[in-house]
Amino acid sequence: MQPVVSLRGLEKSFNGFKAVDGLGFDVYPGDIYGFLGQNGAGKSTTLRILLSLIRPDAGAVSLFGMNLLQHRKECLQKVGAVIEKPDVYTYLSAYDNLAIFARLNGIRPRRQQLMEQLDTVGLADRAASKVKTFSQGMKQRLGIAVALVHNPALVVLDEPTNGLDPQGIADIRNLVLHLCREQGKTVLVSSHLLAEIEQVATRMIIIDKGKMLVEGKVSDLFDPAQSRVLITVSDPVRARQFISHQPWQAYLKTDQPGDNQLLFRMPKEQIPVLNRELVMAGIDVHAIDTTHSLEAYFLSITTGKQHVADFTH
Amino acid sequence: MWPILRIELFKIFSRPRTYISFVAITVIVALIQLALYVDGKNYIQFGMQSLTQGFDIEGNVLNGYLVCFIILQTLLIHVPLLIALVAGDAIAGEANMGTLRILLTRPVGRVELLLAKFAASLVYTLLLLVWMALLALFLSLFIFGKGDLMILKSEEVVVLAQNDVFWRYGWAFLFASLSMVMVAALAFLLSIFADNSIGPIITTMSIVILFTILTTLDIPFFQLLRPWLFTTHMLGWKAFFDDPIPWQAVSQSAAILLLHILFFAILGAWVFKRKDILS
Repeated sequence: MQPVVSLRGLEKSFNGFKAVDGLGFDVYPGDIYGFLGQNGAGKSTTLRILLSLIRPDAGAVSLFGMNLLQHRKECLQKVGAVIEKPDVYTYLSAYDNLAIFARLNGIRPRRQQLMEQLDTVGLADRAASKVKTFSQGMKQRLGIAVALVHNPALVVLDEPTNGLDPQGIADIRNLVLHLCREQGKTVLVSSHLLAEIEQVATRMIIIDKGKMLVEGKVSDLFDPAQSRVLITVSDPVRARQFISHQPWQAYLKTDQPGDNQLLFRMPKEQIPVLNRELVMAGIDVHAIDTTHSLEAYFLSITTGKQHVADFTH
Repeated sequence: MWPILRIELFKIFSRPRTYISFVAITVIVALIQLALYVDGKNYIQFGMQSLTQGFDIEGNVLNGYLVCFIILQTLLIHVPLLIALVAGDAIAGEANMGTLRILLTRPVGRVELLLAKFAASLVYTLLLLVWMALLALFLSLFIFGKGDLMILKSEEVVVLAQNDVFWRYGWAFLFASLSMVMVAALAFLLSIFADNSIGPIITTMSIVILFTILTTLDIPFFQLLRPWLFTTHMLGWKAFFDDPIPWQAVSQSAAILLLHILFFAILGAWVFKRKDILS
């Protein structure tokens, strides 16, 4: 199957700082492709290269089998994107914004069509209002309508849930699923919010410092049933001795997260059983912290608490 | 490019700030006309004090043609600011709003977009000058009537018969348009380098003011610089009120302004085509 997006050996530096370092991945038709990394990992730079906003220092970008630099117009004709913020012309109405961007894509939809598209994002009743009067959520929805106005085959969303309330985040999640499942579009969505990606992505890549850490099908990369369990105990030496003779040893990780802490990767339903057995063995359990699925997976392939904190908060 | 140009014009004329320039010109022209209407005779008498001692001057000296000339001399030096307001905002304003990156993710060529934006800035510039011509020339003729145009220069007095003036204004406005287009091209070029429009607007005005000072200062060293400053050539519109018109000098100035426009436009396109959009 020909990939919709294909990146190979991408490199980009800004004043000596390497923002993207040899990155490469493929996005296939029908994928909801999660693009993960902490702030500053190189996600936005990569997406901007993908949309021809930034010229790479090295590497190749193909969209729909065409070289982006040589066939920029043909490639972008099939792409709709919201990059970072859904910026539109605030001094124009929602309708005018939609009409302008439709025409820039070479189409002249009828008023009825544009109104239907505004209706899809819940803005039909505000079609004539100036965008400067809109809330952040409304701007986000208009930005998505603008990105979809020409019915693109590939939708690129860069941090689409930034600044949204929980309802707005849920709306975006449902929209992404709708675009993929109902309309057959390919969606490339970047985020630093792991939980959001986890709920929608079929494939994903995690990058750090411009480099790929892992890439592949979400189901192949981690087991959603596994949790990362951090247990704080009164006597870690005794606790380790106890565990070394128990089946729990298989779940114990070799990392030493803290002086009195033990790190496990295990099914979450086993946590109360482990807790009970530790207590029965005379080991006081002071705290149990759990992180689940994708977040746990991310933590398992990266190190450093600051790294984790940046990523998960 | 036509659909993009239409979109750009729609955007320019949908912004209230676009009309500030038209209002400003209307107010300034109206104020000058009102002042000359109320107290113009004294102003003319004062200006011609040295002449009236040796000559008898008859007829309608304070006519529409003279009023237009006074307005142009007062106003043309300030119009670049009004033009920079829009041309300096063309790219930098979009970068500041974040819409530049949205625009450039569309299947539109960068040079094509740049040319459309430049053309839209030129349309705005030309409309501003047409508006100025309507107010300064036609309204002045309506209020003050026709007459011979008498212009006091530093070393001579030029008197042009009234039937020999109108076509000169046509050329003068055409030349002034070229000058203003050059200012627009400069502001537009600077706009490409910036991510907010204040920088290009202020820089354009600073360059124009600095060059104008160098052009007008009567110091030998600066006189050497004069032929190289575009502001020297921007004043070429005045030559259409010489008798005879120094066509060679005017053509040379026009060619220099055209070369500036071409240089700014080509450099702008070259830079914009390679620019990383980080806004």
